[in-house]
Amino acid sequence: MHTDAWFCLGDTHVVCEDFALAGRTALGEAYAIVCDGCSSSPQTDVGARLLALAAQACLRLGRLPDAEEVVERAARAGALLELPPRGLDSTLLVALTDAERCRVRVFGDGVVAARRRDGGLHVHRFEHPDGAPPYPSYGLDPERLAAWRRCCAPVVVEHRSGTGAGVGPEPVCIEHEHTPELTLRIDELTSVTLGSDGLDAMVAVDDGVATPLPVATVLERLLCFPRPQGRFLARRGRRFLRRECARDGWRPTDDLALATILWPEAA
Amino acid sequence: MPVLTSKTMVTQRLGASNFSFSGTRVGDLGATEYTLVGIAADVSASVTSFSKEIEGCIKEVVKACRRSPRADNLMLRLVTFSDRLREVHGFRPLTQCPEASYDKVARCGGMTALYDASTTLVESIGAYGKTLSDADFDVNAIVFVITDGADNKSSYDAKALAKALAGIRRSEHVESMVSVLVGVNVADPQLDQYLKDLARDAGFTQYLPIGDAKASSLARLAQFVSRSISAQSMALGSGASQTIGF
Repeated sequence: MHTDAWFCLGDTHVVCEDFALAGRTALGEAYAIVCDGCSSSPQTDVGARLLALAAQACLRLGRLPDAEEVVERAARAGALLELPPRGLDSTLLVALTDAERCRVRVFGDGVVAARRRDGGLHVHRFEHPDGAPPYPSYGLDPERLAAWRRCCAPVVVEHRSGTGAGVGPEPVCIEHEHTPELTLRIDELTSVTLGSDGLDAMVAVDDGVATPLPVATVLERLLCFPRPQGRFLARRGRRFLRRECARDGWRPTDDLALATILWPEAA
Repeated sequence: MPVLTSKTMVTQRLGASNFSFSGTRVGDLGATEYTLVGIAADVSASVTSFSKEIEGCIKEVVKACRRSPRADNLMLRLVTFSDRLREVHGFRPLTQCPEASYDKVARCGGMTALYDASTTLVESIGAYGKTLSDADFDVNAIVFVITDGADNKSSYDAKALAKALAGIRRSEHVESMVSVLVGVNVADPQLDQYLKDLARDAGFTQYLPIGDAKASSLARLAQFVSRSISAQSMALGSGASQTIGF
């Protein structure tokens, strides 16, 4: 089993507000974390990192964290640095394996991609219908949470699509009223990747016209690891952007963060 | 003392030949792009009188490269040659190249297997470059062959060297490569002409004659080598080669 994480700046951003981590617990379980800081809140590049590190502290103990404990820990660290409370406005995706399962929680929006042993790719894309994901940091401020509830539908929508067994011809849409959680069977998988919504902001530019690319199309190209060792995801991501996207006129308009847990022996 | 090959290194044979080289395992590399630096240093009998200076030159190159802003993206392989080739160490990051490990590296004696050393050095760049490129690393390279004499011992010839250099240029694994033939102590015009012709015929990017083997000249050579390495490393990603003047 291998893990790696990678993030990069999107074309339209000045600072990368996405962040990703991946690693192993003391017991050898794998974890992955992706955070995507809100562009309209201040210093969320820092906040996203604090949130990811706070989540990592829980995951390293072999525990899938809930939103409150992550955001409170991050807020304590942020307060020491005088980070504005809104600086913690960031989505958070976490994954943790055990002997049989990989459990994923999605706080906000983002993408979960599971590469299956039959070669298929199952893509779970989570988004908020109004484009206003419920950031865990809202839990620190009852007024902000109430304001979000007043003007936004309190749901996260999951779009399921992909290839291989268990995937129909049409995408499936599921509304979640609580924090979405996936449980994936490891014996069916070769990899699980968490991604920020930057995956949903890749465009193909042809003759000056930008056409959005389906997430599954991007992931099919991105998630092939010829040598799944060391910084396999960082190398793949850089080559994908520097060579393949440049060659094909693809551009990442938003920041992008990915974290992968890989079982190459199962491939 | 040679730098011992550790558990992090893998050995790879070069084609059907008896030559091989070692390189750091892909999984142990932290960066996503590398400039491969290959140095082949002549330690034949004629170098004996300035072996200390050659050793000092190598140490100075390593020291200077470790100060480079691209230090984390450099991997160095050092070979010495006389009758036979000796891999002092295979491709490894500069952090694993302590200066002290180059003490007494120039143990001089014997003849000059210049073509064998040059050809296999270039081939090792090609083979390891492919290994890295296949694993999504971006790679370019720079090689230095430092000699004070003509070949009188190799199993390869100048054509094999030319073929190896052309092979690298054709391959897509190594984005670009700079190759420099350095003639040290080439006061003899015949030797100078021989090396000049070799550089042209084999297709080296640059031939650098140094008239003597004084410490000051070799110190300048060390500066040139380290600056060339930095320049080529900076060029990685551009698709171009970068050479500098002596």
